[in-house]
Parts: sequence; C-alpha cells; structure tokens
Amino acid sequence: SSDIHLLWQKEDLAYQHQFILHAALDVVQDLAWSTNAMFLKSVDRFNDLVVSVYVTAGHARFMLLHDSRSEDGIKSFFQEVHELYIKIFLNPLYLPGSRITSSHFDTKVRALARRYL
Amino acid sequence: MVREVAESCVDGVVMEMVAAYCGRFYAAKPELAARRIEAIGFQVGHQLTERYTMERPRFSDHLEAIKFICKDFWSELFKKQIDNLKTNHRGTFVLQDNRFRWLTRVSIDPSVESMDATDNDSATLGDSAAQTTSMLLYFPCGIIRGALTNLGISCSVTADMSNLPACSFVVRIKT
Repeated sequence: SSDIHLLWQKEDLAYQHQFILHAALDVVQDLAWSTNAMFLKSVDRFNDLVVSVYVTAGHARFMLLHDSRSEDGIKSFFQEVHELYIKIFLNPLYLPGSRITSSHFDTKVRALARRYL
Repeated sequence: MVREVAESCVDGVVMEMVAAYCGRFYAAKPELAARRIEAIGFQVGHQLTERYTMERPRFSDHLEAIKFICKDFWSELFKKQIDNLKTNHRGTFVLQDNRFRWLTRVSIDPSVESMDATDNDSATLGDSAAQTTSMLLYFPCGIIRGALTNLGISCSVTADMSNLPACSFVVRIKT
C-alpha cells in the first residue's frame, strides 16, 4: 500500500513539474520580445522551484525547472544544449517542431546536465 | 577551417532542382512547381537562421531582423550584403541586390530578344525564358520567408527581376 502511495506521489510530482513549466510559457511569450537576451533567468517560481529559460533567435525555448543553482552553470548548460539542438535542426530529415528522438542527443544532454548542474 | 562548397555546385543544384520540378515532376502545373520550390527554400532558410543567429542577441523588432537578413544572412549565403533596403514603414520592405549571384549566369537568348515580338513563336520563347528565370527566384523567396518566419515574423515574399542581373525581393509582413 505504501509502495503504491509513493508511486502516486512520484507521478503527481512529474505532472506537477510539467504543469509548472507549461504555466511559465505565457510569461516567456511576453518576455521574449521585450529583451534581446537569450538567457531569461528565474522567469517563474513555485515554492522552492525556479523556472529558467533560454530562448533562441528562432524562438525555440529551452526550459529548466530547478531549485536554486549557479546561474553561470545553467547558462553554460543552455548554450551547449543550443549547439546540440542546432546540429539536430540542420538535419534535412528532421521536421522542425517535432519530437527529438535521437538517443545520441539524449545522452549528450544528460552528460551536460551532470557537468553543469 | 570552415567547410565550404564550390559555388558552381550550388548553382548546379539550384538549376537542376528548378529544372526537375518544372520539367519533370510538375511539367503541366507550373504554379504547383513554384510552390514546391518555394517550400524547399523555406526549409533551408528556416534551418540556416537558427545556425547563423546562434552567436548574436535576439531581435526585439522587425527592422532588426530584416537588417540581419540584409547584412549577416546575405553575406553568409552570397558573400555580399544586400545593396539597398527600402521600407514604407507599414510592414513592406524591398531588398535590392544589384548583382544577384544566382542570376549572374542567366541570360535570355539574344536571338529571341532581337526577333520581332509580333512573331508568335519568339514571343512564346521569350515568355518561357522569363518564366524559367522567375522559377529560379522562388527558391530565394522561400529562403527569405523561412528565415523571417523562424525569427518570429510571418510574411510573404515576392521577387522582381525586371533588370537582370539585379533583383528585388519584396517582403510584406502579415499583421
């Protein structure tokens, strides 16, 4: 019974994180045209969680939900993820806006997360 | 070292693409061929802007984005900037390239030009030559539209080539 409860809690948390990020999209939409900066730090908060966003010139949005961390590390993480994203984006077989299914991309992003976050 | 492709290869690919769509795939439907060529250009422009804007701050208004197309983007594609930019300040921009690289090697057969225009055959030949040249311009129109769309600017792009090899691209921003 306690195992099931924990599983539910975990699932609830995952949905909650998704919800927080989606709720922050409206804020990002407004901020995107009001500043030239790509890295928009702490655009939204929920309890002890912070949403940081990196918006490219092409208006692709990289969003990170985190507790308080080094801003420099987050910025470096976003910049390197942006480079990886461009390599995917320039693939003529990739349909812009579609889900990125590359396991190579996934592995690299996780490695960057370990390095910077 | 930056990886580059010989310009003649790009010229060849563009001309072959236009020839394939106009002469083989959609020989009987030129407007459909034009749409397809423009769509390919759109994808190319869409992808290239993401790459060329990586090292620079984002654009906060339309004029900044258009200037980027005229300077940085055009330089990356054609090793030169747009020669002239005009606007009516109501969402229409005219980008003029006095020597558009993809048209410098295009010429309409002088024998067709010099023949009497009353001759139906020569007039038809002249029309088809002009139509082929205009087909070449759907690709760069698509590139510009794709680039601007990726920068968050919805627009339509048309080309005017009444003074070869000069070429003007008219960008109309959709409000």
